[in-house]
Amino acid sequence: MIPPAPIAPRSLEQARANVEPGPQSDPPRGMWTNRYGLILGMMFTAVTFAAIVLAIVGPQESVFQSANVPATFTKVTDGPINSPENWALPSGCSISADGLQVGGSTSGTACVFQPSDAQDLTSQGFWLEVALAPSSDVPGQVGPIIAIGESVQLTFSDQGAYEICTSGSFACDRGSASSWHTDTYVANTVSVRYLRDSHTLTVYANGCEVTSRTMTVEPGAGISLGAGSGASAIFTHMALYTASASLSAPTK
Amino acid sequence: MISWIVTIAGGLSIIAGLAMAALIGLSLYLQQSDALDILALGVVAALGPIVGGAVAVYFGICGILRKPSRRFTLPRAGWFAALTVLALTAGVVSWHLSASPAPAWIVLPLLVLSGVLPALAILALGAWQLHLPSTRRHVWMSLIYGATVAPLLAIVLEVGATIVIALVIQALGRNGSYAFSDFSSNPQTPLQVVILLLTISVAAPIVEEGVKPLGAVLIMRRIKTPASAFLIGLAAGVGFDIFETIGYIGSGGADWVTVAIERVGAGLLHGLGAGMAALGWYYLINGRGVRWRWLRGFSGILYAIMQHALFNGSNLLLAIPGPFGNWMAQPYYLDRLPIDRASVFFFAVYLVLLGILLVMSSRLRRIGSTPDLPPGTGPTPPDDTGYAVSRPTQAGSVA
Repeated sequence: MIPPAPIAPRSLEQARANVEPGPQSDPPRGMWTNRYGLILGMMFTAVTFAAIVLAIVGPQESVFQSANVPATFTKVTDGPINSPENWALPSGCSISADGLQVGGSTSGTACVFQPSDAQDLTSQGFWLEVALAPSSDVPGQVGPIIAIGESVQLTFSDQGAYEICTSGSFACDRGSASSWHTDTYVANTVSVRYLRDSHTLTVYANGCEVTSRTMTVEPGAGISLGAGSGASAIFTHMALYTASASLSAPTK
Repeated sequence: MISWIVTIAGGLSIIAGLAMAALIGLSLYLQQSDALDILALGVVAALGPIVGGAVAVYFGICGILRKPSRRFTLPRAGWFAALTVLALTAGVVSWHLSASPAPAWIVLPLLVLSGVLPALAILALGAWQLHLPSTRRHVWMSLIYGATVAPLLAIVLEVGATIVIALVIQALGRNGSYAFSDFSSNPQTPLQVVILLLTISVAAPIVEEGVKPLGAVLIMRRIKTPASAFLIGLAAGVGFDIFETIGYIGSGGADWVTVAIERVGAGLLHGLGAGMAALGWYYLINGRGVRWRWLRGFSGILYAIMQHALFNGSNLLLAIPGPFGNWMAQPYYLDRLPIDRASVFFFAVYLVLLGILLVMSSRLRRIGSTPDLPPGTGPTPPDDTGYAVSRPTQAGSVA
């Protein structure tokens, strides 16, 4: 039988290790009180200044690819969306002075940019940029969709979560864009660039790369702007540049 | 015993943090995107446990070796407040200079500091007001507990509470699914108002104010003054606030600085609440012989819950229809940066909480200097080195 372990008396050393000092009788003085406080203060100051420099200088020196239109691309359209010309407007789509308003449907809504249906503006390469109205201007839940024929469907939420589904992929990709303005009073811009030579589709939010995929856009794939199931969106501006040599005439 | 627990828990925390870091790294790699919210989650769910675990192992080993801990100090609150202003100003300038903060890791340090600095300003204010009554080991360990274990417990318990609320509503023949929404949109029906209040004004305050002071409760027998108990609770609340605020700021995306500005005083809510709850526990556990012991004890805990409940419930002000609701729904601007008008209300609440913190810490400091506890359990005077002079007490437990 193992005898019970003796209970050690509480030593002075043990008590000293655990004791709480209690409030100082005199108020602490100075900025730091002691060297420990000084070291902590200097450390936090140095880290703060380093973080500030990184945050302000970093975006200018960003290693991420920023959004720009390839020089060889030709303009198709670049301006506010305030005229029904060029747009097929099924139920759920309407155009006002605010822009192209989409939504309200339980199964999703798509408004087709008709020039892209009439001729192939996408398969040889394109640059599409759309500006969205701030969430506070949009009734209900915000959920813009950009579709390129059956090849690409890109969806954003008002919190910057995105889903991109491309032809030839087994599953859709999901993620969130740190460059997305989640504030309901700030507008967002989404850009999509497709380079045929490298078969690369790149998505940008507010000028910063969000994701990139290797895929092929089918010839004649039309451009649609819409909103997801039960969601809405207002597209205020659209720019489309194409690498297609068969472009007949730029639209307004 | 506690030192051993702390050391082992610190080691486990490091392992859990490393596993979390691997999961988050894998997630970022698979998404091939730079998500600020995931990076912020990485800081609080991976870096926090790793750093916190390392500090816990250090303090745990010091405790096992019977090495006394020095008096806890921080630079003055004004220093942290100045750094907070600097960090937030830089965030606002950065917002105006560049369209977006990509890549995310570039702004991550400033984002984290925007959550940490105001919280430390509140901790420093409390510590200085109380005349630095506690040890580094106790205060830092409490802060680490508040930033790591407490949120984990709170998340688990709040999910459980949400499920219970939904099931009860469902059992009453009504649709309780609203309990699982993120409450980003205003409630549309009276039932949704009830569910919202049950979730954010009943379940969340009880759970969070229940778990935040548990670290302090673990060492309560060693705490000799109400001031120390309050400071250790305050540290746990500040740690909890750091976890929560960094998560919220990270979800702000390109507008993270807006969230950082709006939550600048959130540490007061969590810190003061946890401080009061820890004070309540102090009287319940150590307060034998103290006048109105039970009243003081339960009042502290009840105050923490009520304060949290009222603060969370005030979110319903945004849902009030009519001119007031419309006015609150509009922003005001820092140059071009929009800030919710509702934040004006929260800033006013922060000022009130600041006033309560100052009054409470002033009163507790005086109690600490003139013990209201039985002989042998009062504070011990410090010597010149900052160490407490040993005075073995009846109430102290064996490590």
